Amino acid sequence: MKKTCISLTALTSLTLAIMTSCNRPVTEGPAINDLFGVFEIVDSLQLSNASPDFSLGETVRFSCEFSKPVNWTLSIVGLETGSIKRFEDFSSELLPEQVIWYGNCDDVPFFSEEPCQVILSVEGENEEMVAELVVQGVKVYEGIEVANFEDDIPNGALVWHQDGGNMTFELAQDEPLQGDQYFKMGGRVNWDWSLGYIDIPLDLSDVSTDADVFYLNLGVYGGVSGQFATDQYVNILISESDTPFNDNTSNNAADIFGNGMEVYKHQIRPVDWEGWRFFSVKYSDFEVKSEGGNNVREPAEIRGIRLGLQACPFNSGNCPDNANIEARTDLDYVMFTEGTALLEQE
Amino acid sequence: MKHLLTAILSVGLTPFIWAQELEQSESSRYWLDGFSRTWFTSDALLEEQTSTGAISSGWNLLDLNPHVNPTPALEVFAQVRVLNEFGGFFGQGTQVDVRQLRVSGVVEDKVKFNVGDIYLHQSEFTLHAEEGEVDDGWGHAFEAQRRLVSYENFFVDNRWRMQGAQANVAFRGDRGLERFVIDGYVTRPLGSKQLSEGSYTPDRVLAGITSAAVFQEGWSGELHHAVLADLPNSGTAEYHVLNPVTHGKIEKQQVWRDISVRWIAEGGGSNHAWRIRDLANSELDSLYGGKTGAFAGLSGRFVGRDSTWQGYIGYREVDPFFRSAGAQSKRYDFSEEASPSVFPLVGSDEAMRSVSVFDVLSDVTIANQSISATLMPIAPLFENVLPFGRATPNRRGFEAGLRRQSKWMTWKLNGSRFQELTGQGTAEQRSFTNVGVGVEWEPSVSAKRSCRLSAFEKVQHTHRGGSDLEKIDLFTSNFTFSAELELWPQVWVECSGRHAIGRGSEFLNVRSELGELYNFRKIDLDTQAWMTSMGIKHHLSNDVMAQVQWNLWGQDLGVANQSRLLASQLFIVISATL
Repeated sequence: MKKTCISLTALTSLTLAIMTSCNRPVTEGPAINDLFGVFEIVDSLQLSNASPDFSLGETVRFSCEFSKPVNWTLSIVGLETGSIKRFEDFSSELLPEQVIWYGNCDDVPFFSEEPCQVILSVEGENEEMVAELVVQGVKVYEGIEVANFEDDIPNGALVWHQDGGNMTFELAQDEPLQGDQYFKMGGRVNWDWSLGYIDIPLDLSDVSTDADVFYLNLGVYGGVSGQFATDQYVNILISESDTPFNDNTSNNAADIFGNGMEVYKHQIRPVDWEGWRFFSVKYSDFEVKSEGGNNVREPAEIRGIRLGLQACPFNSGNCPDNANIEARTDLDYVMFTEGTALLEQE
Repeated sequence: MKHLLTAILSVGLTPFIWAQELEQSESSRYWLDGFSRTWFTSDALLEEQTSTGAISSGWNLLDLNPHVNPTPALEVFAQVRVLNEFGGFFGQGTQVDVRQLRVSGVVEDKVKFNVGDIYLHQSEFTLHAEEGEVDDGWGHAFEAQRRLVSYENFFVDNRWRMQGAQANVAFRGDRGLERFVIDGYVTRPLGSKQLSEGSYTPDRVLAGITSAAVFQEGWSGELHHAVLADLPNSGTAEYHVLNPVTHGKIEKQQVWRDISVRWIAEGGGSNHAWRIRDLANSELDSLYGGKTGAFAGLSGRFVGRDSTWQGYIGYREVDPFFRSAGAQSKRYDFSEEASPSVFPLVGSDEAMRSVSVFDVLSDVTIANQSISATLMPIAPLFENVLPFGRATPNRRGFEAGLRRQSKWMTWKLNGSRFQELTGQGTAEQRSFTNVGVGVEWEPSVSAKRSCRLSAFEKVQHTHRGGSDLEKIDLFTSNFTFSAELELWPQVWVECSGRHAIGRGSEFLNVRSELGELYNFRKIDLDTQAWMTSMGIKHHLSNDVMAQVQWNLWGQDLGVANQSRLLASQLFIVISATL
């Protein structure tokens, strides 16, 4: 018994001695005294450039230091457009090499050449730091343009719509998202989901990007005064079919979105907001609409895009409110981007 | 009462009772067993200002287990579930699915194997499912609820249910070696999942091997090794866990002054790291967050000659960075994402209430069936000393226990004292004290009727010094009781209760997805939670049982416009082993 105890105790002691000889840290995690201590601003908010010209590739870098790690939010607000860009993190410092503004925004409207207010707030603290800057030149987003509707609808594009009431499948100038014009899609059709669409031919054969880093970006305008048609949405079809775009002129529009053709689909549904919102969708997130090719989303094979307005028809009995309201999903600034979504471009 | 209950149950169970009339030769190759349960609850808020009515839910289920033996040494087992939710009608709400599938057999009378859904346990430091927060010392309280949660979540003993393959082989030895066993398994706790067209989560694999040897003169040894790893080529994720764990153990069994003694010396270590894939070229190019940790311990277990008493004593150290996914994964999910099924939103702000005694004991959805690659959140109100069982990292200390049995009475006393090895957020270290006292009384009322009364109190104290910000002083108490009395043959009146009290404050660890401790959440735990139950249990036969209970439960909330939650539940369960 005694011999056994000594043997096993010696074995355990040896193991414990080896463990102790390893370097155990004195503490794990951030210091509680810092985390829960008194909050102080050690270094105030600094901007590297108070009058950036983003069109020239200039940036604004931000720095600040606190006495402890905190949840902070840095907001840049355009005083004329209301555009906002936010940065958030949990740290004790804003490092100029990490917190960099390239002139982009979180959602539309885009920043214009305008004065901006910079607000740095800390969760749980009342104190805010405020600074000002003036945008001297707006950011130029890079991408493959599908339609900006500035001069006209894109070359070769086809527009079709039902013979409903107050149909507005046309260019308009009253509330563009970007530039001077946008494409207005609206109206009332009581008997069918599809109200109309615009088909745009594309040739992206020079693109070599994979589908999971290839984005479709577009601005969508919802209703006004909080009034939206029930279940109205933008139906997006992208075709990789080699069928000629418009050989058959007797049908409603392009010939490349039919059954049995390689077509992919995404819906922005429902459209139930006021004003403009901007969306970026990975091509890889499009679902197969009809199987006709290899079912592999290949950006270089894209031959055309259909942007359509659909809404619940009143006659179906499922949306009685749509008897008295026009559906509306206007479009502007439709672009493909490679690598990142448009608003995340640096 | 008894006859009324019998009549109701006879009608309710008629569909589940059938006879198998197979030919003798057929029945040896194909046979059926199974389980059926009818479960119904009706929950209502008490002291409720709004006019929320009672919420009812439940289901009928039939788990049918066909066993096929193509050869005497091979069995194919499947469990087919037909479940009809309460309110389902004419097929609506009815689910039929295969719940388990397994092939078991013996090769050449030597190698036993299982393929499919298997239940695995290796050692307390490599692969082990700790009972955790529901543990009450005796295991009788709220037995119906616990059995329900366990069955629905595949909780069997301290085993994890996984999909994979397992095999073992035993050899008889010669001279000094009496027996030698090798056991190995490969499982897939998490399968690859498509997130989008081009992105997938990777397969996660847990594999292990155990070798055990029994020598002469009471010596034996075990060596366990387990590895949890993501398979990078099966997915497109950037981070892939790699967590090998080794556990070695030497035991000596002997008799000393009429006392059977078993000494155990054990030790081992782990490594936990993330392999990073360069998303640009899909190659693994570096390791991130690699940390090693070790553990060692010495313990003794004693059993009196007439087995009327038994005890244990032990000392153990577990490094702060010892990580073992298979042993430290918890059976209950206390993360903020875990939403109670019954009355989850409270207060005028409709805040999510925290998981309470009622949820841990009776909510099927709070339980966790998967192996977690990082340490899971804990609930200090129920367990703060060893929230991850014996494999809890960052602990050094002693533990001891004694159990004494007399004719009608059994006593249990255990205690432990642990300390952190590394301070969290401060150089000051927490110290933990745990004391548990229990008694079970089973008087002989008559030769035909049984009676039992059980009670267990667990008190825990956590202390840390330091500055006013760093100080911790947390006291928790968990008292559990249960009693049952056989009024008529096979008819019991039963009651159970549990009351948890917390006083003081504690810091909860906030960890990143990669398990790094980057923040703390301070909680003031001046709270209590409780649940009581009273009802009738009736065994219609050896295989058919029915229980009707009325449960009352509540918890302190401290949210806007609501200081506490008080609710009742009607609980009916009828179960039959087929």
